[in-house]
Parts: sequence; C-alpha cells; structure tokens
Amino acid sequence: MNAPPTQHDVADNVLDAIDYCYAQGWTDGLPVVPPEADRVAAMLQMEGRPAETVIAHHPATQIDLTLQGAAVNAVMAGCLPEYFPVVVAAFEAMAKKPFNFHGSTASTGGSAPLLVVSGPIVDDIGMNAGVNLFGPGNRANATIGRAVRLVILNIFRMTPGIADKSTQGNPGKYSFCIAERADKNPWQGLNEDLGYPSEVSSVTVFAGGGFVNIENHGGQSAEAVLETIADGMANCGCISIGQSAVVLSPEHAEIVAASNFSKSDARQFLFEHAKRSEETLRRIGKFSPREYALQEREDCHRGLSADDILLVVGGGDAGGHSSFIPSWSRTRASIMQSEAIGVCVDC
Amino acid sequence: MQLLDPTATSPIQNNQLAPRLSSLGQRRIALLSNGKANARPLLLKTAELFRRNDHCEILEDMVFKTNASAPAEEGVLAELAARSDFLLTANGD
Repeated sequence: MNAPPTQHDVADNVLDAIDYCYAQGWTDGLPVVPPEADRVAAMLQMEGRPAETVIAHHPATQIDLTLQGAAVNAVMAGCLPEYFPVVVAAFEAMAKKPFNFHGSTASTGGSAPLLVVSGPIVDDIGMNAGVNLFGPGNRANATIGRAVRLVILNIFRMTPGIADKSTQGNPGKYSFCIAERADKNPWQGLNEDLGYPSEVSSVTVFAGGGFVNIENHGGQSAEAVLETIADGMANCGCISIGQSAVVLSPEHAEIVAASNFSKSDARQFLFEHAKRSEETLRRIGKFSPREYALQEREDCHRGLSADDILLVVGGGDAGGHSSFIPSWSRTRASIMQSEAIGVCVDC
Repeated sequence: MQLLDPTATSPIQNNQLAPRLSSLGQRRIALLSNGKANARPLLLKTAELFRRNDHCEILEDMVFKTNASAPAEEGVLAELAARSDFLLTANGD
C-alpha cells in the first residue's frame, strides 16, 4: 500500500502556485497546471480502480506508478479527465517487459515514447488525426503526450543529465502523441489489426528516435511512394534491425491503395526495399556480424521482417508528406507494445 | 491552495555488495559483455591484467547479453557464478 500523497500548501494564487511547481522541479520547463486535489479526483473518476493501483513499475529505481501519481501528473500536463484512460493504457503498455522502459528512457539514443491512438476514442475525446498531426494546436494530443513525459520526470525520476543521458534528445520528449486518421484510411484500423473489436480503442507505444519527413509529390504509384519511404528508412543514420513507425499521409495512402496494395503488401514492400548492402555497412562502420546472421538475408534490412513496421495513416488532406520514425537504439532493445484503452479485454 | 505532490517515493532497497574475496590469486574470472562493440576488447584487456598479475584463469566463453540495456537473461548470472570466482562486466559503447 502506498502512502497518501503529500500535500503542499501554497499561496492562494495560481501564478504563485505555478512558480512553486517550478521551484520544486516538477516541470518539463513549461508552466504546469497546479495539481489541486479536486482536479486530481476528477481525473481518477475516469478509472474504476483504486487510486493506489500500480499500473507501471520502473525496473531500475523500483519505483511504482500508481493511478494517483499518473492522475496528478496528467492534471499538471493539462489533461482533461476524459484523456486519462489513454495515459493509463500507455503506461500499462510501456510496463510490458519487451518495451524496456528503463533503457528507452535513459539511453544516449534519446528516444521518446511515441503514442499512436486508434479507434473511436480519437473522435470521442477530440484528438487530432489530421492537419499538423505531429504539431501543436490540439489539447488532447499535446497534453496526453506531455503527461507521459511528466510521469517519466516526476515519478520515475528520469531527470535529464542524471538518469536521462540522451546525447541530443528529441522534441518528442515534450510530447509525442498522435491519432490514426480513420476517415482517410483505406485499410483496417490499427486497433482492429491488433485484434480488438472495432469499438475498442487502443494505444500503441513505440520508443521513437525522432522524426523523418518523407516528401514525394510526384510519385503516382504505390511503388514510387513506398520506395521513397523505404529509402528514408534505410538511410545510413537510421539503418538498424530495429522496428519502424511509418505514418502515411492521406495523399500517399490513397496512391498506395489505388495500386491495389493492401496494408500487408505495403509493409512487405517497405521491408524488402529498406535495405543497405553489407559492403556499405562495413564501409561506414555499422556492420554487425551477429545482426547480419540474425537477418539471414543478402542485404542488411531495416528490421527483421515486415511485422516490424507499424503502418498507420494520419495528417492533413493536402501534401505528399509522410513520416518515418526510427526506433531507439541500434538493435532491438525495445519492442513496441499496445494496450486497449479503458477496458480490460482479459477480465 | 493545496497541491498534491506529483512525485513518488523510492522504496528502500536492500541490495548488498557481495563479500570481498580474500585474495585474487588464481581465481577464475567470468566475462559478461553488454554486447556493444567495444565491450569485448575492454573485457579481454582487463582480464588479461588479472591473468598476468594475479595468475587468474579466464573462462573462455565470454557471455554476450542480447540486450545491452536490460539485465542479463534469466539464469545467466547463476550459471556464471557456479563456474567462476568473480565476474567482469563491461559497457563498451
């Protein structure tokens, strides 16, 4: 049983309370919403479980994340109560061992957990799956991602420079949360790909190493678009046997689907073409005999199979801009995980 | 105004150091690499110093973790402990 949360008496003034949070080292550098008890209680009302329920555990510090701790930080991030189940599900996914929660948040690699939300909750809570998908302007996307970071900072103490040793970090460490765009998706949604009924939403967490814009406004076939993306996935700085996240813009998705490519076809094409020669990797000093043997292929591909590529649709109607997010690390130290949002599918 | 604390208490950990060896002379050394490129030469050079100065025996089968940032796989440490007197590990990036 965890001890009741400590309370801090501060002056009855919001700006003073914000300054107090800064003074305590509770922020990500931006102002936070002062975590008053009534707001935290409203957040917790979205959960059916007791506040002391542990939803994640940090393997290095042995610190537990409770619903209470998550709720306080979600308030500080600016979340509305209806966003809270997404935050909870994200941590339940990250707590799964293959995600390697500690390594992916501490490493020089500088990854940030990318959250990809899929299913009806996207519209229910007003998430942005469209224009400026990775950018600012939507409260749900911005604050859910920020809540994840504040928990990592405040609960798990992954303090930059002390426990978080990122060489350069990445902007996603402030917030890295997107929604899958259902109305422009020519294929089945990610939530259903994961085996959930269409009415069950999901969040997928991926230790993302950054953001690579993939531009192609001229290609008019699946092959042209996907070859461009595969080239980005296999650039010398990104090539590894790690997993990939690819977010197809609606324009690109339409072109790919119009060529009668299924999602599975597209992923397979990406895997087959996202590769560099053994000679190239040797020349640049990135060749690993052990990883090469693991692939059992002539060339060095990104990932081990098409299953290592998360492919979703998102972004604005206009523009031949898709994106590729490489995995953290040089190998397969973190494997993406998913969780249903707000329901217990195992119960 | 009252604010709820957003941090968590770290549990008290009862980790203890292993008992020190009475001497290093003629001990068997196990080698555990995190799998990164420079861990192997670092381990071998360090072990060589023990071999030369303390007449230690080096287990030939250096063990490589498959995930540099995660603990060694289940049973690895126990297996190495059964065959050695102490273990060297390295994090060569």
